[in-house]
Amino acid sequence: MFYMRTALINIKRYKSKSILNLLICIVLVVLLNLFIGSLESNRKQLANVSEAISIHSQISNLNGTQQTGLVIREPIVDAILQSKYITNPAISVVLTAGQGEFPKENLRAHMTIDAAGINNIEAISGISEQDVTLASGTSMNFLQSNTPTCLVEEGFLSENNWKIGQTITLSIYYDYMDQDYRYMMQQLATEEFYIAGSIMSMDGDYIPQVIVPFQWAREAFRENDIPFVANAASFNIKHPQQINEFKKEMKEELHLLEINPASDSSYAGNALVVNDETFILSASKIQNNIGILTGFLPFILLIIVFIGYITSFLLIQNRRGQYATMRSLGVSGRMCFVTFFMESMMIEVVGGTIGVFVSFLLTEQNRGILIITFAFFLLCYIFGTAGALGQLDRISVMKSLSQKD
Amino acid sequence: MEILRAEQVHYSYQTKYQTIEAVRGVSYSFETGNMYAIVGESGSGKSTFLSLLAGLDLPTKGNVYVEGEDMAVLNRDSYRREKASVVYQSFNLFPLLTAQENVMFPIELKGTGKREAAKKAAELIERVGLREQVLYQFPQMMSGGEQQRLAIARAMAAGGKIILADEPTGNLDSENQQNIVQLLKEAAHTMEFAVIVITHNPEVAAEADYVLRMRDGKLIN
Repeated sequence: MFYMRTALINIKRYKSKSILNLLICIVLVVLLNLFIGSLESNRKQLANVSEAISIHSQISNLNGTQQTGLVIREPIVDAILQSKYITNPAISVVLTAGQGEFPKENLRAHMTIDAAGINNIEAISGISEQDVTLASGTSMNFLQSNTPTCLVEEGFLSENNWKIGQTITLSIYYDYMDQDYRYMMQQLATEEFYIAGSIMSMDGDYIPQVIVPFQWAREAFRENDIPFVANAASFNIKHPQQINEFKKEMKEELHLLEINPASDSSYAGNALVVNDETFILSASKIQNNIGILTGFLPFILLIIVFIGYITSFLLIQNRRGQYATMRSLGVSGRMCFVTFFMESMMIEVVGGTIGVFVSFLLTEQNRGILIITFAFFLLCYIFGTAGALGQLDRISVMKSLSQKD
Repeated sequence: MEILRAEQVHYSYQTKYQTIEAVRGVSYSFETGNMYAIVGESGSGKSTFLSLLAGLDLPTKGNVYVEGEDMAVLNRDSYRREKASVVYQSFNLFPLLTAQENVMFPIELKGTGKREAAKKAAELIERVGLREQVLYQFPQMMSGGEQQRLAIARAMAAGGKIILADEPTGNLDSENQQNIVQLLKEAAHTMEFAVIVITHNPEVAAEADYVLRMRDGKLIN
C-alpha cells in the first residue's frame, strides 16, 4: 500500500512527465489500433472477396470459340448440377415446337416456334428475373420442376393472342445433326402447357419464343430414349477459395480441358472457361497486403517495446537521486523497482484505456480488435519498461548520494 | 555501549587502469551517546568508510559489526531501515514530498500507519527546531539550514541509534553550521545516538567527543 501510494504521489507530483508519458501511450495505442485494424480489415476483405467477386464459369468447345449450341454430354450436366463447388448453374437445351397437334408429313411447316428448356432464367443471355412477368402465385422455381409450364416471349404472346395463365397445346421437338451431318428432328412430347408468364426482351436481344423447364425436357428425352445433351451451361463457383479443387474435379472426373485456341473447331462441349482473373488479382493483392502488414507487425511491436524502454530509461535518469535516497533509507532494490514499475504501469494502463477509447471513436472498430490492440500495447510497453527499470541496480547509490550540490 | 565496530576494514575498487585501495585496515569501535568526527583530506577514504558503516557496500576485507553482528550476514536494507540513517551535504531529500512527508517516509516504510507517522513526523520536525509552517512546504522552498535540519529529523525518524553524516554542514553558513552541529550533539548526548560526522571543518570537529583522522585510507590516531 505504501509503495502504491508512493507511486501515485510520484505520478501526481511529476505531473508534466506523467502527462507526456500518458500522451505517448494514447498515441501509440491509436497508431497500433490503426495498424491492427488495417490488418484485420484486409483479412475480412479476403474472406469476403468470394462474395464480392464471383467467379463465373462456362462450358465451351475446345478452341473457345463457342459457348452455345454445344453438345454437352449428360454426365457433365449431372456433375454440374451435383458439384459441391458450383452454385447457380444455368443450363439450357435448344428445342423447336409447333402449335397443337399436326401430321408428321408436313412437319417443318408447323415447326415455327423457337423453344428452349432451361433451369434458370440466367441461362438466357441478357435476361434477368426483372424481365419476366409472372402469373400471380407463380414463382420462377417452376423452371426447376418437370411440370408442363412455360414462359412466352411478350411479342409472341400478343401475336398469338395468348394470355398469361392460359393453357396452350405445344408439340415439342428436338432437332440435331446426326453422325452424317443430316438435319434430324425427333418428337419429345405433345402436351398442354400452362403459360406461367411472359418475358420482355431488352435491347432487341434474341430470346426463345417459348421456354419450358429444363427438367421437363430432360425427362421427355429419357421417355423417348434419346440421349440427352445440353447446348449451353454456365455457373458460378460457390467458394472461390476452392477454385483449385473445383478445377481438379472438373479435370479429373469429367475430363474437361482447358481452352486451346490452336485446336480444331467443334461442337463438343468439353472445355472449361473459368473467369477467375479478377478474383485472383484481387485476392493476390489482399494477400500481398496481409503479408506486408503481418511482416511489419513484429517491427511495430518492437518499436513499442523500444519506446517503452526509452521513456522509462529517461524517467530513471531523472530519478537517480530519488532511487539512491530510497535505498539509503532501507528500501530494497526490488521494492524500488516495484514502486517505479507501478508508477509506469498505472500511466500505461490509463493511457492505453484512453487510447482504446479514442480509437473506438475514430474507427468504431469491434471490441475484439480493441482488446487485442490494448493487450499487445500493454505487453510490449511493459516489457520495455521492465527492461529499463531492470537497470536501476546499475545506479551507484554511494556515488549518487555523495554528489555535492 | 558499543553499537558499531570496524575490524581491519579494507575497501578497494577497480578503475579502468588501476585498483584503488580507498580504505586500508581501519579498526574502530563506536558507542551510543557519543559524537565522532572523522577528518582528513579529500581522497583520504573517509566518505567510503562512512558508506561501509552505512551498509551501502561491504568491505572487500575485514568486517563491520552492528551490535555484535557481522554486517555481511545482515540484511543491509533492514539495517538502514531500522538502525542507521545517513545525512548528506546535499540533503538528499525527496524534492516532490513536503517536509512532513519526507520525515514520514522512513516511519511508514517500517509499517506505521499514515496518521501516526504524520504525528510522529510533526513532533520530530518541531524537535529539530523547525517551525510548524514548514510541514507542508517542499524542500526547495526552505533554506539550506532548514533542509539539513529536516534531513536530521528524517534520520531520527527511522528509530535507529546511528546517524552517519557526510559533510552535513558543507553547504551551510556559519550560523546554520553551528545550529546543525548542536543538533547532532544533542542527538548524541540526550537522545543516545551514535553520531558519526565526516567533516573538513575544524570547528565542527572540535565539537565532537572523539576525532578520528584518516590519511591514505588509514586511521592515523
